[in-house]
Amino acid sequence: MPRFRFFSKKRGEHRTTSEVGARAALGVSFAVLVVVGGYILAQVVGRVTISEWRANHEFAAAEAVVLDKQVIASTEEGYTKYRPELKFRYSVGEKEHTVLGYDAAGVYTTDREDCEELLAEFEVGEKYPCWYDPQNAGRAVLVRGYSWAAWVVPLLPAAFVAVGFGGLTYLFLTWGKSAEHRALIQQATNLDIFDPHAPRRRDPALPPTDDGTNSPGTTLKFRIPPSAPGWDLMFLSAVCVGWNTLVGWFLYRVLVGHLGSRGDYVLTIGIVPFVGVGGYLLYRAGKQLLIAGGVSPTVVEISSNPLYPGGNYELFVRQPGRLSFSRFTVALACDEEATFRQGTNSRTHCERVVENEIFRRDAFVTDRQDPLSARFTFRVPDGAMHSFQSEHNAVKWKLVVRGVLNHWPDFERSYSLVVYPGRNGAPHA
Amino acid sequence: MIAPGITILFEGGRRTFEPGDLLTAEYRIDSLVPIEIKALEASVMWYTAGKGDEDLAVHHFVRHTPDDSLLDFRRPQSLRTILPIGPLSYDGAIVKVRWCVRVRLFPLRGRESVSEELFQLGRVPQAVVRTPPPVVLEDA
Repeated sequence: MPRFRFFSKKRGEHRTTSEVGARAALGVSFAVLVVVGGYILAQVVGRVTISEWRANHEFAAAEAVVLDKQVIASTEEGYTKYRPELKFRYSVGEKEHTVLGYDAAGVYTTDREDCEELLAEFEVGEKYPCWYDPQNAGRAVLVRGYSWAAWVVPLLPAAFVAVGFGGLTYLFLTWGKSAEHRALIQQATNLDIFDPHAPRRRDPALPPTDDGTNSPGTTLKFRIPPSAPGWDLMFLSAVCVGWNTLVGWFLYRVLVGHLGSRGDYVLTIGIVPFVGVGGYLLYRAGKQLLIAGGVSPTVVEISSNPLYPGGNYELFVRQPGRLSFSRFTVALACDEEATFRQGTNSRTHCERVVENEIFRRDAFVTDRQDPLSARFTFRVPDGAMHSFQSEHNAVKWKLVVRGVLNHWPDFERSYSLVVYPGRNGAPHA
Repeated sequence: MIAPGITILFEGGRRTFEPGDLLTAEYRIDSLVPIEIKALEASVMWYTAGKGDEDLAVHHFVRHTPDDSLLDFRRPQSLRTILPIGPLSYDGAIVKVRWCVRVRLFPLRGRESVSEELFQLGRVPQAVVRTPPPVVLEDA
């Protein structure tokens, strides 16, 4: 009898998961999304969207006398919401109708003042145009038009339905199929007909060379862009600002409390580590800002891309700006990256397996007229593993430029390279 | 009931290939008693091992069912494919890429059986975790 394991644990290179159990649970989740999302979608569309559309297109015009007006309040789970409501009378043929209503959507809002402003446009006893449902003359509105609630809100349950339906379709197409058969189906659906590199990407493990060939160089053939230019600084700055704003607000409350003789000593002591983290973030962000502001971008150009194991390639490096270097190095490096699940988190582990220093210069000064310019040859090691990229695993080649500066923070910049399988600097025949 | 076995044999016992080489293998079902087969799948594929979650991709895939009138499951089946340029087999520090021929048997009754035989694509040497960088090479 098959054993179902509902919990997954990685033991060595194997994962103790019941695939059938996992796929069945996934199927139930998708089905719940479809059913719940479909029910909510039907309710919203039926009660709000269609009503509003019919009021705008099918309702017949009449004249109504407003008899009363009020803001209706409804409290659910501690929240009170409001909507305007008018009592009005109108005639259809010989028959008079007295109804309660406002618009077709009848949507509640959390702002009472908004509702009062809407009602202020109507005076009790006055006549206003109204529109009634020809199929049910006892149903009428005093206001027509389109509300965001009727057309935007349905998108949320519709997204649930789409995700659930897509998931169920995928499970149906792959149910009872082996891991290899499913992988084949997935590989086929991954093809992008608008991708000029599609034939290369039929082999899903070789990364494209686009980033390294998009920009022509001035000295050598290609200029290589830095990996994640500026993202580190932007992310760090955003975290630093967010964190310190929050801590600053609490600090302000603490200070106000102490000045008003209502000091909260627990909060005062508790906030100290947070202030420390904020200070460290400021230090890191400040250092990055100093590097970004004080050290001009390093220009890196290469004679060829992609590279092949055993091949010799020319590299040109230029470091402009007025700087005093203790050391400047360029290294050819290769990192392995493995992404794995740990509980509910996804973690990535990186291990450097190659780092060859290919250029070094010690103790020198650059200025605007005399920047550091170096053109040299380096070799990709014979028999080296090529660049590799799959969903959870990668082998990444890069050039690492490091500068140790006098009286300024050190810097390190990476430039991605793509190494394809081959020998002696040429692709496999 | 003893589950049927699956034997996979590479032509000439060869287990190391270069990109573009022709891989030829034979696979057969070993069973003491006649078995009814729902399907038989053979794949030439790679998968990752090591620290990261497993990724896999299939290079060559065949699926036989009893509807294949020309197929006789009692005889060995052969498999031939030209191997791609990559990814090459790799025994890294935390990322490993392994190529194999995998055969999966789905009997009409009972559990499926799987057998795989690894082979080497390319000759990438085993990776070692980087030691501290060597002393300076040269100043350009």
